[in-house]
Amino acid sequence: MATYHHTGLSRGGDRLKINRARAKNRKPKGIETLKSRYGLIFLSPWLVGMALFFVFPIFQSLYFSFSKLNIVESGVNTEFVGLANLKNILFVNPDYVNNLLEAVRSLFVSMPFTIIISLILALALNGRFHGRLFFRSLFFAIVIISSGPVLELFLEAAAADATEVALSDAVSFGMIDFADMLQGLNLPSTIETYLSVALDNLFMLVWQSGIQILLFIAGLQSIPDMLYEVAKVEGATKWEEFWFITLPMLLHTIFLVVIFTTVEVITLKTNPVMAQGYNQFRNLEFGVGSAMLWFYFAIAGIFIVLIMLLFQKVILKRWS
Amino acid sequence: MKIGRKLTVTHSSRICKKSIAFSFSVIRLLGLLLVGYIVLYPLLYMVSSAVKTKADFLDVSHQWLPLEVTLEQFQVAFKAMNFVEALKQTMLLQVLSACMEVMICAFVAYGFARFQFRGKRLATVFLILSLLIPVQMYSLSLSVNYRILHIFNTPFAYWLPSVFGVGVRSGIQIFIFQQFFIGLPKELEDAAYVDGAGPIRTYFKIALPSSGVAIVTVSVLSLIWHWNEYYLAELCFLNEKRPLAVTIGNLSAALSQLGIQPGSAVYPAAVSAACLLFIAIPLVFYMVVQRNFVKSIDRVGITG
Repeated sequence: MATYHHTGLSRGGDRLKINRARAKNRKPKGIETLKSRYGLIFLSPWLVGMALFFVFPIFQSLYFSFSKLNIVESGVNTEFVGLANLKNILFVNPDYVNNLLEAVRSLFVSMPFTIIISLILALALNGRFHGRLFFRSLFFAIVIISSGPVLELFLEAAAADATEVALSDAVSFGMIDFADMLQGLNLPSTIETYLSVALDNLFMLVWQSGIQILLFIAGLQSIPDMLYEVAKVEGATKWEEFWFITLPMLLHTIFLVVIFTTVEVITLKTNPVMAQGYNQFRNLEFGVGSAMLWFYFAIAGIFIVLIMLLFQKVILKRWS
Repeated sequence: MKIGRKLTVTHSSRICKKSIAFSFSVIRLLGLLLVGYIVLYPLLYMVSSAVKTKADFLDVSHQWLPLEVTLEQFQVAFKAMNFVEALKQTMLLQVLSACMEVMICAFVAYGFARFQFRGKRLATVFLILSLLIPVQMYSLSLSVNYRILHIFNTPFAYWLPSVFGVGVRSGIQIFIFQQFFIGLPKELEDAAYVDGAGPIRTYFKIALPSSGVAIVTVSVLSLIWHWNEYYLAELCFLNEKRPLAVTIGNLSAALSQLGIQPGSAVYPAAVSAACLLFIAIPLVFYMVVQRNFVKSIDRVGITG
């Protein structure tokens, strides 16, 4: 009996060992490998699309920016001209560099204000109060209008209208003179001009922050209530709650908003560089137009990389 | 004595807190009303000036309420935008490809959210790049290639990228879906695997039906973005095949052909009427879905 038991046990033990060895040698087959293969299946349409409609056109347009283009019925005739287009836009064209500087300046003005305005509005819309649904749907409606051509047309129409009060008056209700208020504050002159430019553009800043408000509200909703409850028990004020819970937990959203705003601002139709590139396309100067846009987006790319480095820790934690 | 004092202190501090909370909510309401005014201002202006007559425009004393209401400018705008044809094109090109894109983006995002595979990191880098690189950078090349492939000026020029999930702002749509799927509890899908369903079946039977919230959010955004897209549409389509977003972009040229120059008094009225015609359908659509949309934003779980 005892030996039987013994052999039985040892047999079982051997089997276990063999199984373990097999498990070590083989990659785990079954659901995990199956699933890893299916990952690529799910991505396959997108991968094909990225190659055909994203990566290839990008390199092609880079090539365009170094060539002279003629668009004909059945495609395009290109002639490689090297750095001629780049030289043309940087040294010959009188407006391009100025437009570039103007575009960068407008990015730096609108970026911080867009973030602050949309964050404040999102915080205001996030609480519970009467009429919350109404205000929320009103602010999300911004997206419908501001992502299209309507807003520019409206500005154009308002400028052409003789009876129309100026927009800056509309924002201040014609009663409060923000410029006077600013002068009364005795700020350093650089900050004062900075603020006054932002106030002049308040209308556009609010209008361009639709998606940002939406992202911030979604971000605020994703902060667990538990944290606020703990803070309340510990006796934190609302102010402390904002700085120690809300803001740190929103870092990912802020990163997303910064990236999104950058892309939005640099591609606005009213942006001077975009408008100039557009005009080049209309005048059939495709090579020069491509060079203008490429150089501009390369600079924007450097800016975006800097932002990414700034938020490096946040992204690494989340995206990998 | 001590206890009594403590009680009064807490009592007064409670009143203090309440008054702070009250004044905070008043400030919030005022602030929201102010910003709401900024938001509503162009809409009110457009409605008011679209129905004005020429005489009212020249009369500076009447700014908001017109003395007479006329719909003449709507007829002008209707003609200038080539409304019926352009609306057909918008529906055919943009609305249809928005629908396709939402479905494909959800499918791709599920792959990003649920599976680990070789090259995923690289794919994620490309997803981020597609969020960052604007279509303006490569649209010329797209348009040239469409000419070579003989699909220039045909609906396929607009459909093809959407079918492959790389159309108008598809990056952010995939991103929203991905965030949603990551937040979705895995247990139901695991149960489906145990019962012998493959990943694709699990996706269609379990994951997709439970992602209504994300579908609402992304669909609304996608439809609006497609409706407003004019850059690619302008480069890839010729005159009579252009959708509304392009014809309204070239409005001033069309209006001056009809005899309304930018300097004339009724020009703002015609432009306002055109704008109202353009946003009418998205606005009505938004009003129908806004309750669901606003709620879905809370629950979709976009965290970045």
